[in-house]
Amino acid sequence: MTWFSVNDLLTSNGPLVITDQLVSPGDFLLHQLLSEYVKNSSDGKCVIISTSQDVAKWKSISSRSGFNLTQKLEQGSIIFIDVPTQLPDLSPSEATLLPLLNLIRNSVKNLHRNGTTPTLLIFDELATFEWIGHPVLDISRFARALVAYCAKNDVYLVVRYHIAVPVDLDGVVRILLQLAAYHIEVLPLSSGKSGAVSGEISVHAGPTLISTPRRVIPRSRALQYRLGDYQVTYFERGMGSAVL
Amino acid sequence: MSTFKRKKAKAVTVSSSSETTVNLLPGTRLSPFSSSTILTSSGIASLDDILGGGLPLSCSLLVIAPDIHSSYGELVQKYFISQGLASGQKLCVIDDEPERFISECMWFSNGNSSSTVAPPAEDEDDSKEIDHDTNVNIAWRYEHLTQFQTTVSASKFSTDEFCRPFDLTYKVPGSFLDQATKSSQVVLLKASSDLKRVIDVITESLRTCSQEVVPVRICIPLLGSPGWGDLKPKEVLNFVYLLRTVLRQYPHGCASVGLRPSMSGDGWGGPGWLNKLSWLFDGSVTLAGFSADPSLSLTFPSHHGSFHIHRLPAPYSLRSASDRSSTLRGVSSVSGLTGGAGENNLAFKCTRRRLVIETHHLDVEGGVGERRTATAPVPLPVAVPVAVPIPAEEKEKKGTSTRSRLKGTGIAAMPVELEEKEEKEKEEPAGLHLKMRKKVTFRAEQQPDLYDF
Repeated sequence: MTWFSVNDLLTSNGPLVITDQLVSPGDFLLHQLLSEYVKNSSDGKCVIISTSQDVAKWKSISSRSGFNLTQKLEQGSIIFIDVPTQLPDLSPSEATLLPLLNLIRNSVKNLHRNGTTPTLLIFDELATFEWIGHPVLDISRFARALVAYCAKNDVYLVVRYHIAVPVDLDGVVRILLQLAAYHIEVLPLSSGKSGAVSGEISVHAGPTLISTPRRVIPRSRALQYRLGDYQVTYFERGMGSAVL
Repeated sequence: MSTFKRKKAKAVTVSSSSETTVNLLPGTRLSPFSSSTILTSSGIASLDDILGGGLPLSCSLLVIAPDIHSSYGELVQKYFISQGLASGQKLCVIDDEPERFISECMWFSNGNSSSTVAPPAEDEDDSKEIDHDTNVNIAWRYEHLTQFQTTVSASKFSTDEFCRPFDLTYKVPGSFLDQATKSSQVVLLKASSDLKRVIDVITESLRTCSQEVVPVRICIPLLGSPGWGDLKPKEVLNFVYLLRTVLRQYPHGCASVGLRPSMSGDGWGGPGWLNKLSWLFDGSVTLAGFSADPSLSLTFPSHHGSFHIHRLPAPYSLRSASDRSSTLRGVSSVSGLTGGAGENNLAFKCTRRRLVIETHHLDVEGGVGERRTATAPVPLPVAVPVAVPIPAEEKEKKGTSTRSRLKGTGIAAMPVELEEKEEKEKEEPAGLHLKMRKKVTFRAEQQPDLYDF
């Protein structure tokens, strides 16, 4: 079994972009990231912006990961923003994404960071806005503004993006990848679904990464993973428990 | 010590202790793998197995049926409605003609229910299979094995109240429907192009039941039908996004949505259309009927279509409970140390009395259409057109002098004949040669064995 730490890929120079597909969803990386961040830094603050999963799922998985998200929410060290509920007027025809950007800025300011650990901002997920009708230009400006704000205020930014057409990366995702410091690709197995292997991940260094890449995993040596109910297991290709 | 281990499907046991401590909503049960997940049946036992025991409350299911010649998607929606009615849950049906749609829903065998046809003592398909298997003389070492199963039965779950054994030959009683409509158990809404109004009605249905604590089933049998107006792909996605938002706000509801067949492909919604839709639903399945492709119907005569899974609900965990519990998918048996294989192919068939999803196995190679364990039946002659050169003399005798007229002109002569009944009885039909269906044999009858000395 191999250990893969998402926390090592956090940098305040640029966002960590996670792209996934329908057959291989990448929400396990977000949950693992939150768990590692909370365990590694006692004074860390976090803002989670969600368009798909409600807080109940985050609480359920975090309780199995060893920390109490409910307690953290009550203490104010973690803020959860459910976009459809808190911003119901954010429809494509009526408004831009500026209210969402303002809400995120205010939330980060309200966290009152006292320690040295940068705040973590998890944005799940950005492609939905493009699908429901928000203009690509508006979403691109929002993404750039968010990246700039996080870089200016020393905030770790993690953005998840669903790939609907794997062979054609266009629109917002191309701009996002140009801004990324690291890019984690969650890919399905080319041979189809398997009970022993849920998918594989590869890590690429982005254009905005200044320092030496901490860990890069090319597609040719992609790390395979298998999902459990609340945990994930990583292993090199051919080193899974089913083979050994 | 042998290193080979027999693969066995892990038995799923529902702990009864969890049900006794929690007051369950009508027609629901707790998931055996997650105490926070409340499941409700889709009405089809095999579909419940694929979903991981049932459709979790607060989740939505998309049923895609791209075949324009059949209505299997609507049939699944009718099961969904019937199960909700039978369980005493609240229903909100949105359709062009919701009254007509709900009146056509199936029902279970009961003394008070109305039947369209007289029910026989046994299902014809089941009786055929039983007769076929009783004639098989099986080796003694295999007698203790159970019969090969390709689907799950409804008795797998604890009670019939969770998943009723609906019969397609029965329709829901009209008196029951009238009573349900009067008591507001059923809310019928005509499809409208005003999507915001539809969302408001759904929200209101969920809000009124939040105090009564009754599960609410939202059913949209055919999203995109003419009553919905001229929808654009982004409008559909926005509507589905809002529907998911409402279900998250009121977690005692669940939804099942069917898509108009013409909208079920990238040709209508653009590249990645089905992927985008499936992302916005918690579960997404496709029932691809074989009726559009005659070759598939001939290749798989025992099924009516293939069943594909795009996404499965996992409201409180990283992976769906179906990965652990589904017998049909077969992933749970291979996810352990002996794992490595992929999940089973699935197909569905609609018998006279029910819709069932089964594991899909390829036939034996060689052209035999079934796994034969008894004496082979008499092969049916198949007329295969074979080009047989017709002598020119016979043609000239008949009077069709095509060859003679075109002879020497450099034009290819293609004999075309009309059927002549008078001469048909005497002569064999020219141009056709009856061929017997190919049989699977290990030794050709006409050719000698290569190893015979």
